[in-house]
Amino acid sequence: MMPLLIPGPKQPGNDIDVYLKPLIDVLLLLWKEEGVRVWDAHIEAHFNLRALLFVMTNDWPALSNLSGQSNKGYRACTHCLDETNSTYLKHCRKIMYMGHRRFLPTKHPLRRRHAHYGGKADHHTKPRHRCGKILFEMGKDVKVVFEKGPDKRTVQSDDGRAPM
Amino acid sequence: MMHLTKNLCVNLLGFLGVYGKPKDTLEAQQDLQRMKQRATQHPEKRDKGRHYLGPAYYTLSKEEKQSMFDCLNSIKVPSGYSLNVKRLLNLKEKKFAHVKSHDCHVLITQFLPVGLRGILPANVRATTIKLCAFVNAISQKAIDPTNLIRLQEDVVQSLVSLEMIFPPTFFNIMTHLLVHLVKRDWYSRSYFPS
Repeated sequence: MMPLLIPGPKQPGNDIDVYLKPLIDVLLLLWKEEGVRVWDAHIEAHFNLRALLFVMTNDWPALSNLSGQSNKGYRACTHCLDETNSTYLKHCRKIMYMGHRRFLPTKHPLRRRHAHYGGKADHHTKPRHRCGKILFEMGKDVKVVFEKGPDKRTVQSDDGRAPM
Repeated sequence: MMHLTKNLCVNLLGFLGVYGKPKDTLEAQQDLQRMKQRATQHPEKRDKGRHYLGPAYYTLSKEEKQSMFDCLNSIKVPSGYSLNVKRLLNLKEKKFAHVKSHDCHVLITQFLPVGLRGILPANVRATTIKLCAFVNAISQKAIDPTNLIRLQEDVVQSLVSLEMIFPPTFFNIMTHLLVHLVKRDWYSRSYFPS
């Protein structure tokens, strides 16, 4: 277990990836078939140690830094990804995430036109589950530029791509 | 889960009118008007640029607050079970104050369904209690995996009903995340087949 606490206004934000890189290198090594040869003092013999990253426990703001996904704005939900249903409320100046009717069964009576929902029917399907392979495909071309400029502003990269 | 319960509880209490500032504001009603929903809750224009806001049916009236606070004030629990609920209640202003994470957890899973009995319109009460029951079920240490599908149906139904009751401001990202709780639980459980 590796606890990590990064408080305060000077937190690294997305640049946390730089500090996590050594951890990922070690995890890749431990994931391999042969593992790492380690001495077990109890049975007094060598054995091959293998390990995997099981689960991360973090709060909502830290999730965006660790996963590299956005969790604010129109595409805030880290499960729905680009299928997030969001509306901007003009007077409250907030973004809201409604449209839960699409999680209902397809022929549910509430999916039909209803006065409460502005007289509209909802035939959207619920967001599909994406496995690790698809997620990797989605994110592999994202170019991450680390470091921040003066006043904590993000710096433009050389090839004109905006950093994350 | 911990943050989710806390945010949901504070949000819910806020809309019932017993925590923080009133949530049934002019802006919330103007947004409803813009979305052409719930014609009964639109602001009425008065002279000098003023507006009249009708009372929202989901906020507690003075008598309802009194009944809820009387009920919560009389609750006694075994020692070490939870905090003393009386400490959370500001009886003078009829509001909750200083709620912390675990207080919210106990409130939403145990006390709120009891305190809401007999007050509020039936649809608001039933939906709120259903949501509380879901939070209670999902935060148990041991969950029967065969129940997970039913739990997912429950939470979707209560969220859809809440969309009819509360204004859109209720649905911040934390409330939306309730939909994905069961799925997350399902996957974390698949590593520990028992």
